[in-house]
Amino acid sequence: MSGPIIHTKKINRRQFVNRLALSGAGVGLLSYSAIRLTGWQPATNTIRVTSHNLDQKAHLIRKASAVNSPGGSPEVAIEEKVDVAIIGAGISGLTVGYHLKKSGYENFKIFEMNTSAGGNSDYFSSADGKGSWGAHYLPIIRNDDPILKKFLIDQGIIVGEKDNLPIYNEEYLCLDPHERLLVRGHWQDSLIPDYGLDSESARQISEFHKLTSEFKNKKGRDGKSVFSIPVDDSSQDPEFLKLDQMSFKEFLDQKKWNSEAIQWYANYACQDDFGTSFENTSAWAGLHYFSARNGKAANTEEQSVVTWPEGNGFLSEALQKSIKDKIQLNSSVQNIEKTAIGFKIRIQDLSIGSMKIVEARKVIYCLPRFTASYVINNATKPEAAQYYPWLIAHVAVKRNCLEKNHHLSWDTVKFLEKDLGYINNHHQYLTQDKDDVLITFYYAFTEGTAKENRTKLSTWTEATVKDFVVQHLKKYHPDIESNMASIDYRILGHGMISPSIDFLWSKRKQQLPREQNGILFAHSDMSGISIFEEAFHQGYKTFLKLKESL
Amino acid sequence: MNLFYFFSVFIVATCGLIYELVVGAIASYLLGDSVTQFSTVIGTYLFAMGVGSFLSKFVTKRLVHTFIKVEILIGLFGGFSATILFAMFDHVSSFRTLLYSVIMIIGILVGVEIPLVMKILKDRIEFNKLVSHVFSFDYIGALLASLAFPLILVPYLGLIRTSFLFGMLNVGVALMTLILFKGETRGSRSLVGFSIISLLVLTVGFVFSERITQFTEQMAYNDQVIYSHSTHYQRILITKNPHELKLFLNGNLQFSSRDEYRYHEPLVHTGLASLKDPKKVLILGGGDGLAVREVLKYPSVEKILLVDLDDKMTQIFKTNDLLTALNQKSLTNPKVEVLNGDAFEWAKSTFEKFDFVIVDFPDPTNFSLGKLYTQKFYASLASHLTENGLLVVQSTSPFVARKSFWCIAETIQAAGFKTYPYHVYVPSFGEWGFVIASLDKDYKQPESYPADLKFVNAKVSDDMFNFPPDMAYLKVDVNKLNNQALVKYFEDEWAHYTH
Repeated sequence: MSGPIIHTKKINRRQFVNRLALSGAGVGLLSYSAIRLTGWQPATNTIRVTSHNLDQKAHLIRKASAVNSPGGSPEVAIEEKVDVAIIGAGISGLTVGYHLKKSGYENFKIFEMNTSAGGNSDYFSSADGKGSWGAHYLPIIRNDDPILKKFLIDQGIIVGEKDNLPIYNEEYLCLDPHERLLVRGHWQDSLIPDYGLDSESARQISEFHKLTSEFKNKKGRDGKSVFSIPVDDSSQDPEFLKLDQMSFKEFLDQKKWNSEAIQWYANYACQDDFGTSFENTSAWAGLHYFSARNGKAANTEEQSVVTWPEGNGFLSEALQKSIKDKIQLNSSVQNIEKTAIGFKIRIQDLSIGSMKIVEARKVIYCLPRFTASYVINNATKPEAAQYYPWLIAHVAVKRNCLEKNHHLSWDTVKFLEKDLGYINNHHQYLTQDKDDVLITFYYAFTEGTAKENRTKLSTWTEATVKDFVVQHLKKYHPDIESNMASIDYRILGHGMISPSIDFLWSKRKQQLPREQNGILFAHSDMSGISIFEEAFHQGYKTFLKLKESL
Repeated sequence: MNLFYFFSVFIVATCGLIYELVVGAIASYLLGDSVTQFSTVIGTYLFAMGVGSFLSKFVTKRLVHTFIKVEILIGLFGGFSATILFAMFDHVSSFRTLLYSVIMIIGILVGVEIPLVMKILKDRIEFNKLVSHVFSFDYIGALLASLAFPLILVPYLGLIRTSFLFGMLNVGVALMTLILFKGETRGSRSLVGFSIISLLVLTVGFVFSERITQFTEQMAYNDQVIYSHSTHYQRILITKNPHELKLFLNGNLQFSSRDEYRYHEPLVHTGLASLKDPKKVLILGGGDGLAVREVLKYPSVEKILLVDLDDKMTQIFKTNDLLTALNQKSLTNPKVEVLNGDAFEWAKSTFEKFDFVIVDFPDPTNFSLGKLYTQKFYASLASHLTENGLLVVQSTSPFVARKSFWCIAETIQAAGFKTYPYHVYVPSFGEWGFVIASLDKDYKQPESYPADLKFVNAKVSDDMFNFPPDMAYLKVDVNKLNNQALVKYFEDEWAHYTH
């Protein structure tokens, strides 16, 4: 081979090593000075991660059910007597109490396992702000719902009326800007995918909206709204009920609405409202989400919502206000036994660990329905009821890193992502923005069975959760990790009931009776859809029934 | 010597893979869908390397020379790749074109490298050994890069610094080659200079990558920045030249000492001089104390309450000599009470009434400030006004932002006030607007003004209430918390004006 002649000057090994060492030292010095100059330190921000899980408490019920088989437990003296015992201080339980008190009835108590009331409307509070542990908004209500309307008027949420339409308190209506969606690196101002959409996808979305808005005012042959809230007020016309026998995805596929955009959007909606995928949500329930909220208001557009920094914690506090003295927190109900004159309720005080027996003439069971078989002897197990787990994380973060390319909105979501995005909990503040903010990240674990997900999540540590949250939020804001101060999270093993295929209009009716062994059941589970309005109506309906016997 | 070449193969391979990962990561950050981004970036990069390898056959002379040049170029392109991509994301029409151009250039250069090293070494090492060693080092470098990138580099250095650091390493290899092969690279003083300058530029980039924002900030102002401070709410910045002093909040000019009286006199006197013996005055915003200075010209005024969000702002206007010379120490006057708090919260939670209320907030440039221009806010001010009291609101430019101006007037009216809009010419700002509002009593222009005003008098005042056709009223929406109509008008109008 003849190559170009290379003119070389030989150096020996020692010289080479010396020169190498010298240059190495030079590079080292340079890097060192660079590091010193920038004041760079590895991992300066440590993110505080705190779990607020309820698992330990929740599992007490289950353990107790094994110990407290009828007659098997040591007898504890009856400590308290109360006429009506309400089990669970979620929205349904609080609604029963609220109306009992309003009607002048005082002889009742509400027993709650948690350290605060509210159930899925419980909220987190710290120096960084407040944030919901679950439900965080209420859509403006249907105009055919005088009972809920009355409550909203009493609470100053509806402040007047104009042209027969309610005027909502402007401070509570979701302030502008409402929402933003990150679509392929571009921010758009609505959650409905629009940016860069091909004409076919756009056509499918507009057809879908046309159908759902037609359904908003459609009535069945029995004269009732096809989709109503509460669900039990919906038309029983079989033409529409049959939609409950297929999945929402199948429904969309049948309509040939198969674009990535429409399917993501429908799936996102199901996960956000029902905690389950659109493959696992019935078409009836999926359409209910889009078509049942047909409320109109004088001072805002349809589809608006009212919301607060603490989410529906505001509504739960409103229900609690007049009955604070009736609520016993830290009270885990472990067994309910029927007696000749009523019921014996075995309750553990979780703050001190002691047991007590409460005797009640009436029991209203306002916990998720799946817990009943652990607590009530002979209670049926609602096998068809599915509950997927959730992760909710409140993240304190610098506002600046969320606003680099687009103004921060109330709700932020990313197109085609599996997570549900995040809410800005400072959004409803009337005060000027500060440089830090508290956001709440939501994730519903809907792939695979609920049980598989629960098993997986039971092994998650604070470190796992941190990585998970950071990894997801980085897709929205690449530099978020270095701007985070803390993560406060809660994993809900049973997030909410899912209106799965054939559940609402068949299995629900069979497996979730409203009354069993003389105990009345009131919980949004009884509606099959976990929203404030349903829980409220379940509570109210049960109150009416109870009133007859008082 | 040969060992050095293998060492440089190792460095070169590491750097090459790092740039590929940096660009891939940026692409997936900025464009989303990491699978697509990474695979297209990797594909393009490998293809570019192929192009580079092909091109390397044309290099037959001055091999070491070319190698050094290629190293420096890779160092520069690779080193600046992250900065260029991040900085240009908002400024180029086709970000993808830029992205793939960057990856093509780096890829081609890296593709030239290895064949070049092999050609340099082919006469020194047995071919069999050469191929095996070069590729071993190449692959080891790749392994190191792919492990270090996610585990060490991104978490500790971030993307921008990582690319600068590896740019420095590339240029470092060039420099070492120059040192070790003095003989072969004789007569290449320019190359030494080039590589040293490149190394310095990259080092500066590495060191100052996080301070680039401040460089651009200084560059944005014509005058010397004499004070700048970020508070929880805003960035306060003051500039000075021999003739004037200017205050900027979040980059928006608030006043120039040269003509601020043309703003503050109409803001205060047009309303206040029309009241008979005003006693209590409320100022919301206006932490510079300039409106307070004007109010203090009324002997009947007993109390002035100034509510400003930012304690840093009122503090510096209380203590700095340059600034107190301007506001005549108004903020430390015994009649003045300074309260640092949020105006909306204050208006909702207190009940004190005032004869004259001055609302002097920054323009509604964002949704947060927009809340202070809503119907809800003005309604909450109504309860702070005495029966015959007046409210005045600074209302941006009716010339530049005609809809915004009339939106503010309309919103005040919707909150239950009678409104009296007017405007003046302020050289630093252009045409500027205000709205006087009363609850019940009609507003009448003042018959007399405090002595020694520089701008406002009865004749000037007459003109102020006359709106020529290009600023005349037009129908607009009322600004509410749940529509933020004003911020949208404002953004739209000022964007058209400045671009």
